[in-house]
Amino acid sequence: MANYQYCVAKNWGKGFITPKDSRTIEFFRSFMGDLWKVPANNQDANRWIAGVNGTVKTLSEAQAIVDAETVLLQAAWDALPDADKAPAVESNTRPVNITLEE
Amino acid sequence: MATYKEIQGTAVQSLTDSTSTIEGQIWYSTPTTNFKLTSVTSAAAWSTGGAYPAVFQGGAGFGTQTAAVGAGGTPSPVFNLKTFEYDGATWTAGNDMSRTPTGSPYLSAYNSGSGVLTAGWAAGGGYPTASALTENYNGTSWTASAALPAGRGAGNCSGPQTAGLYFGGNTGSPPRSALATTYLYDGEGWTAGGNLNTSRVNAAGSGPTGSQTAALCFTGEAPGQTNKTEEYNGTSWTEVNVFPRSASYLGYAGTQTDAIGFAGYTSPGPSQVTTTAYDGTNWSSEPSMSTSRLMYHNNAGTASAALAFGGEGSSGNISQTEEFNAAGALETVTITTS
Repeated sequence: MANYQYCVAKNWGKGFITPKDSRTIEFFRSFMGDLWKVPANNQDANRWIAGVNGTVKTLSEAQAIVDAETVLLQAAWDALPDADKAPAVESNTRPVNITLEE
Repeated sequence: MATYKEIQGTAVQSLTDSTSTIEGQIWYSTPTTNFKLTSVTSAAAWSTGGAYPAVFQGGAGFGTQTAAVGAGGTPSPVFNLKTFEYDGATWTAGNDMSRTPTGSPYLSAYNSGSGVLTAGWAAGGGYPTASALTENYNGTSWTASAALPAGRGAGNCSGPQTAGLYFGGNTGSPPRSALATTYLYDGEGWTAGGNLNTSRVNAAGSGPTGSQTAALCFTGEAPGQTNKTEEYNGTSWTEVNVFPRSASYLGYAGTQTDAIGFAGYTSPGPSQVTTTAYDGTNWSSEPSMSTSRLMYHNNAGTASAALAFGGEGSSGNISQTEEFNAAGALETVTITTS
């Protein structure tokens, strides 16, 4: 049984995730492409998805969204002049692929 | 049926925000035209706030969760000198920082700030060569103040405008070596304080509510990431219990005895969402944020009501704002009939 579910929802800011949401659902994680990861089989999470007009995605659909965004970012990185690729900070590296978990 | 006034001894007030309310108070919000309840949070939690006007990193943050300021940052030139104020829900543009030359790229990147919205200050920053520029903010405009004794990038401002300190950071010129220096600021000028035991850059600390006699510094790069925590007593820094992991680029808020560090990263891993609290002796886990990011001093507030905005997410700069409220903190709940 999956531990997490994914949905696409646009974060409008204040009130998108309320303190009450955060306390009852306990796990929110955002990804590229307005993708959100929340607990599966969780009534509060399901209620939150409905409340933010989220569109539920299967794991493979969610992975495809992240992959597509990553390809764009990597292409943008590759197009940078070499001087701009020099890391001002250690984390300034080519975007890596992300594997979502079930 | 008893009325609210008969029970509470006062009528329901019409207010623009929750600043003056107390626990258990029902009030009418004139901007949102609905009734609100000021209640006490049962557990700590992060929630979303109004998005910063655009994606950015490397700018200063200070003030409180409901009256915060973001200033400068990158990408240049979009955010070079921009100032935005947060009212607890939305960001609005203020007047630009006063730094010159205004055409310089990254003039305010990796600066740091402290104080409150009506009496803030920001110092250092700039890339690839860091400046010594210091500016005071009065809630409306920035005014140039006495320069830091030397150029500094990616160090920490802490404390109020008239009794602040700037610690750590780098020399501002390649190879930008991490430093241990502490400078004390009185709103008009600088004096030298005691050195950190561990030179570091991109550290976390006590933030706006720290003071010259009770400041906190934890994590950072020296240049390798460190977990060391140090407390300042007005004269010298003392090493205390280490942060649970070596890390850098954490966001931070609080005091020497009540602080939190959040987000950041531990090399070579990705940016993180974790929150860790410090009670003056020990570190403990708090709920995680929803958006991982590297923080560049773009934070504000206290350990019980903190604010994170922008930063460098796992896929580039971001605009998301998140608000942390500790257990027992006051929060505003909208009263509905459903």
